[in-house]
Amino acid sequence: MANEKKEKAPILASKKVKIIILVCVAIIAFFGGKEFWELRHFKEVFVASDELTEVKWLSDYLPELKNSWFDTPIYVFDSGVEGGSVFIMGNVHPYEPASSITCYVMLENIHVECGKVFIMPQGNYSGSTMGSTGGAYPKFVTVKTEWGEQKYRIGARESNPLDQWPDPFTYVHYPSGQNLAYQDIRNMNRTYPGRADGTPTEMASYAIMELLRKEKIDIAIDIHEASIMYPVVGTYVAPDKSLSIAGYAAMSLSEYFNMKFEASPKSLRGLSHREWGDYSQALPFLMETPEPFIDRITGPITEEFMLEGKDEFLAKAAEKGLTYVPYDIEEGQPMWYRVGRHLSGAAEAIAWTSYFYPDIVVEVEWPLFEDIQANGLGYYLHDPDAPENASKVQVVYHKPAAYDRTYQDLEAAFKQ
Amino acid sequence: MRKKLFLVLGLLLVGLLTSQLFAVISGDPVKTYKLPMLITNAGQGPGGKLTRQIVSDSGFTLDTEFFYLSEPEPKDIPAGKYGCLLVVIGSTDKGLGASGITIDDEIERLQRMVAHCKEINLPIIALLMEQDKRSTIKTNPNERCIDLICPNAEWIVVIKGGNSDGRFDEIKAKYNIPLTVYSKAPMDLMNIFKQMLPK
Repeated sequence: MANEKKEKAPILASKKVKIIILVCVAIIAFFGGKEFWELRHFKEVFVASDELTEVKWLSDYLPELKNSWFDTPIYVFDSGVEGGSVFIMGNVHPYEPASSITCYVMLENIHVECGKVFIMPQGNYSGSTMGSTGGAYPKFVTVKTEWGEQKYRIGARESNPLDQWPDPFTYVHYPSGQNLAYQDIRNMNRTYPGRADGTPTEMASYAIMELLRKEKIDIAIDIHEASIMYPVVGTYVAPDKSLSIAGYAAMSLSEYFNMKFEASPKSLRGLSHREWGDYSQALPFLMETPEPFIDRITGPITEEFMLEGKDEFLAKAAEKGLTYVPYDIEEGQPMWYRVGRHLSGAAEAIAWTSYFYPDIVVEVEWPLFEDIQANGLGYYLHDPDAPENASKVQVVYHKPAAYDRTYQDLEAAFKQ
Repeated sequence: MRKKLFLVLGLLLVGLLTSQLFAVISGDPVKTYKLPMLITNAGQGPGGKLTRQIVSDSGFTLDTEFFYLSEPEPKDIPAGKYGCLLVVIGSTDKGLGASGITIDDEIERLQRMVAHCKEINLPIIALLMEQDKRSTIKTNPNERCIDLICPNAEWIVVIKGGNSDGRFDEIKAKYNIPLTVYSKAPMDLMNIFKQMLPK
């Protein structure tokens, strides 16, 4: 008995070790959580053009969205001169930030001579408040200007699971009944025309449809980016009713850069280029620009890559003919180029619409591809801290009411 | 409002007219054909529909002076009805999968169509207007459509950027088919249609 060794307790059973582990987990959770909090609550700002006439919210078209992370601002520029109306939306897929930056360049520099323009820079606000799951994306992208740097968020493709969860095994699109991938239930460009009593993403899609219908929008432009190994890149996608306009616009743009055009398939449901046209009077145009950042075979996913679009693995793929746009690693696909493409793409679609539909006249000006190419992207962004801009600064942020609730409010709600 | 409308349309008109002055068509001379013309696609791309619009904007009337059929079978092309068949080459990057048709189905249909046109002596004109659809991969749907249509065409019309690798020059040399190259769309195309279809 004397030789019997006393059994040692496992090291993890030790109280001290447990406490150390808990402290370590708490530290990691704190720093990790801080990153999530930072992106979730980041406030994008811009200096609005003098011609801003009104700020609306998506919840104006579906009040149930009020105080949710799907409510998002819409900036209205009304010339006061009778004409057509245009709706422009960025960041419905918030991991395509050239789309929201395009909107900000428009918002800061727009001049409307005739007609009315509605610009919504954060189409899926919820999706912009998180990074891409498993994507290891940087949180922000900064554009250099003469006065400093302007910072924008890099979000996810889908709505934030904090705002809509869980996903089903199969997403059944309403009203077509078409089966789609499960995560597309949080993809706002798969949930049109939406429904007022559906999931939050469907509700936001429905509110956009309501905006198109109630504001009698003539031209509706949905701005996107696409990986360069995806066939529908550098392209307009339009249904039959706006296809010829897209074709003429694409041909006009070929003077500056290659732009394809594609017909919206009638059997592929839930997308803006299909449902916007089918469920409203609007002439839809979806625009895609090349964004190497979201290709799947790239090297490190860095902010510099987002800005410059240069990657050696994609260059190798391009050599083998596997990319759907020409790709030169010396030039890459920089942010200025992608934003410039969208600015000119939207302007051409609007101009050619008047050729095909003489009743729809919208005269609008903002910097075009050649302007951005000559002066750089930062040149068209203004300093929100400059005293002369103080009255024109807009903050693209709406703190949902849930965060203003006190413990007593929550207790009262629970009792009800 | 009316003043603005005229201003915008005026500017577009001036733009179109100015562009006409700088239009560039090179290569073999434009060939002429009898009306009515039938327009169709090879590859299910949107080029056929856009060509329908451009031909209409060139002053021709749809369903009398020209017709458009997206997927004609031999029975849809009766002998003696049309003066020529304009085949707009361009595969779709969006629609083939979505429509449930494979490129192999499309190639088979085109083979039937080409064989029928030869049988009834209907001249085929191949048009490539979507330069961005070109690929260096030979099995690419667009390249397969070029391989099928161009050698069977009586005349090939191509946008300059679509022939940057000399692919159509090679076809011209190999099959002795006239090749016309244009550079400015849609203005050059309008000029070509006006010349090739005298009224």
